Amino acid sequence: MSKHEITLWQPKLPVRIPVTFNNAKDMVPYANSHQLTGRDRTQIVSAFENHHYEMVSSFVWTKALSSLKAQLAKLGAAFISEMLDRPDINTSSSIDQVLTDYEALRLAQELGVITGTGALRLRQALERLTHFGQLSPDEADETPMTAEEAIGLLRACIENILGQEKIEAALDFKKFRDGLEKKLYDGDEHEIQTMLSSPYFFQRASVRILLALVKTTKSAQLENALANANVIIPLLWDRLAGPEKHQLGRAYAELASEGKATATAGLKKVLLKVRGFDYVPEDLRSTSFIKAANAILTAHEEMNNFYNEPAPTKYLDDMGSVIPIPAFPVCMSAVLCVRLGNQFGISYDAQRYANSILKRVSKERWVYFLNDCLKTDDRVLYKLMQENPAARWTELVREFSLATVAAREVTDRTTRQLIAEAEAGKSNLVHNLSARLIDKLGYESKSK
Amino acid sequence: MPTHKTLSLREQLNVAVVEFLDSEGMSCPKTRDGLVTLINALGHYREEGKALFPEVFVLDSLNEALSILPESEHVEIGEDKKQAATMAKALKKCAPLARRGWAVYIERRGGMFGYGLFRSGSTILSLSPAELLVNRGDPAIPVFMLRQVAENVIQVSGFSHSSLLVHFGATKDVEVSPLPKLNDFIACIVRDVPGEIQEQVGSFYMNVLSGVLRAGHGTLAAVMPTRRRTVPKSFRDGITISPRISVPDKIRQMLAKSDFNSNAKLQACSALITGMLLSDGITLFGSDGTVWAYNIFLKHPKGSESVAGGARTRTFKVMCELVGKDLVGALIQSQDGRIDFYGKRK
Repeated sequence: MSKHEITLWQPKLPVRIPVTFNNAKDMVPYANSHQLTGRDRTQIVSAFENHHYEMVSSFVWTKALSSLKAQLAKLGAAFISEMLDRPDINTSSSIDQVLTDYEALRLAQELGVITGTGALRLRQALERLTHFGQLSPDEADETPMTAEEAIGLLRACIENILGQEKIEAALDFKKFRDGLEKKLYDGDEHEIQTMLSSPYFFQRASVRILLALVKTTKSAQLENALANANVIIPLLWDRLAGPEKHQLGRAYAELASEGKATATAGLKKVLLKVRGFDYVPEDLRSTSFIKAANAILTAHEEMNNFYNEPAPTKYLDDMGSVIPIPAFPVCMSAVLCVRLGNQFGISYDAQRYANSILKRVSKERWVYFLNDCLKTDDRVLYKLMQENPAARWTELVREFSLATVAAREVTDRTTRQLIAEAEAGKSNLVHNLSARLIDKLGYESKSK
Repeated sequence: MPTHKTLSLREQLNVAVVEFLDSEGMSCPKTRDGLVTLINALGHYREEGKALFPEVFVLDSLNEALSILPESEHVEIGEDKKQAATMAKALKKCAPLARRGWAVYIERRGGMFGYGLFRSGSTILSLSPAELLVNRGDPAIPVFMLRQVAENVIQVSGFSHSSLLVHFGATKDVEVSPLPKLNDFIACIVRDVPGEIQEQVGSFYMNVLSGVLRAGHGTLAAVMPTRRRTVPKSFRDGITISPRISVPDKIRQMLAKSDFNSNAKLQACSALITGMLLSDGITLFGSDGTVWAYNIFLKHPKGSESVAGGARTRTFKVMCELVGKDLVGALIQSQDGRIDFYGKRK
């Protein structure tokens, strides 16, 4: 995202540790005393001095992510469920347990808790940590984590999370969210116009905030949220990708099924305005598929992913031949995460299930995926920026003849090129085009 | 010289129906004739001696209506010339099947009426077609609905909120519709239910009580404030349920789990409460949506024999005197179909 680009809310700035600092002793004073106690700091410095890099990195990471998740949990399970489009998260869910680290970072970035660059660095740190966490004892002895790698992680955690006095969403975000339930917007207002010219993830977040408010508020707040949904969603409709349209349709069906008459009637008006009833699912079977896909993503993004991926992938494979369309984007995201793996490898045992699912994807569904889902799927796009997953993507593009499909039926130029370059085996171009799509989406593709 | 006079409500009904259709923007002479026929038939609808209470929807596009009804399905039964007789035929063919969530549709198609049955929703809490198409209807999907709301009382309501109540009796205007009284009574039952599920608990009781009123057996029900921890002394001649049935808890469980098991439990709970309300005596609710006791008999104070009406009416008078003390609201449906409510909303 260009720094001159208009955005609906600006992220909080990180704590800056001078770039010349490269040891733990200099860095830990930048951590906030509420987040890292004196004892924690001493232990961290001591572990660095004793070269226990994997151990200290795990410790720092756990501290940082626990703190971040605890703060995100204050937003409420229903809000988080909607923001991440995870219907499996409900009021009885423990956010600390159900939210993967990847999702926590993404959500934190979307709410302006951390900057895009901060999120990118933390994601890279997470992947490195996951890699070292699953090495066998022999491998760990042969290729241990280096001091530089551990210092990088420590810096990212302190600058973005542990150094903050208070972890909270961006002020503009809070103002916007409050406004959606407390005042009535019209289409000409500055904030709405800013949203319309913001990158996609702000627009997606706005729709998700509105849906969360419609599902959780009552009385006057609900009336305001519904009135605002009736102004904002029609303005955004043509820009929204299929997954977001399906999320709206599913929210309508869920509210009707739960007997929430006022909220359902409000969303019905929105859907009538945009002629969006095609996106209302015929049944709520899709929710089961979404839950199954999220189980795969959780396995993929947690420690020991190569061992944990086969079971949920098999479960999704066994669920049935046709994935309901509202669940299709997240199912594809999950299956591609398994198939593409990460920079350090793939789960071999999960491949046959992932391939079995992919083989059942019809040509029409591939067209939908390439046209509507891929360009907004940050998970998969970030993978395509890495050498090894990008090489597996090339195999997949060839195996399913996606270049032919893309050349004929994909409208987005960058996506079409991405497929063509993958077919040609040009991984550096695959990297660049994925980065371009990520930037267009509003996330960061490179450190600043 | 003897005079012979025939009194028919048809003319009057015709005028009212024309006005209703005009206000809904659904004017059509064939629909008008058919609607008069349907209203007349629904007032005392029976098949093989058994009373039936179908909901009948007349609409211009079944597909559009189904598109806004989540998890909907339909079964086409037939199609015939656009005339009143086809509407009557549609009712005869479809009414016996219009039970347990199925409703009758009549679709206006050019020169024809198509008819059949449709339903929507997956759980007992799902919003009904009446709620989505009519109560919260939209001009984009013109539709109106007829149903019997109490014995001899037919309600016709449209998407733009016009309504027509037809009572086949000699009741005063203000007594015709039972719905405002029913709404007031339900407001008492859900008065202390937490806001996030108040709507669903209210809708649950609306379904239960509507079914009870249609059955026409007569019923007595009362609501006591939640601050009370035990059944009031005067209500102890009955069957106290222990532990009491908490409808809000069951609804909360169902919303959290969304599984067949919790839906089945809620359905079973609905059947049980319906049975209680159709039993003799009073059914006692808490203002937090719970059921405390049923089959309760109150002692009538001396001198109450002079009150006009039967035993149920006399009991209702006694209950009314307890409102503000042991009770927050009381409801009666006497055997002649009359419905009354006394109580205070918060």
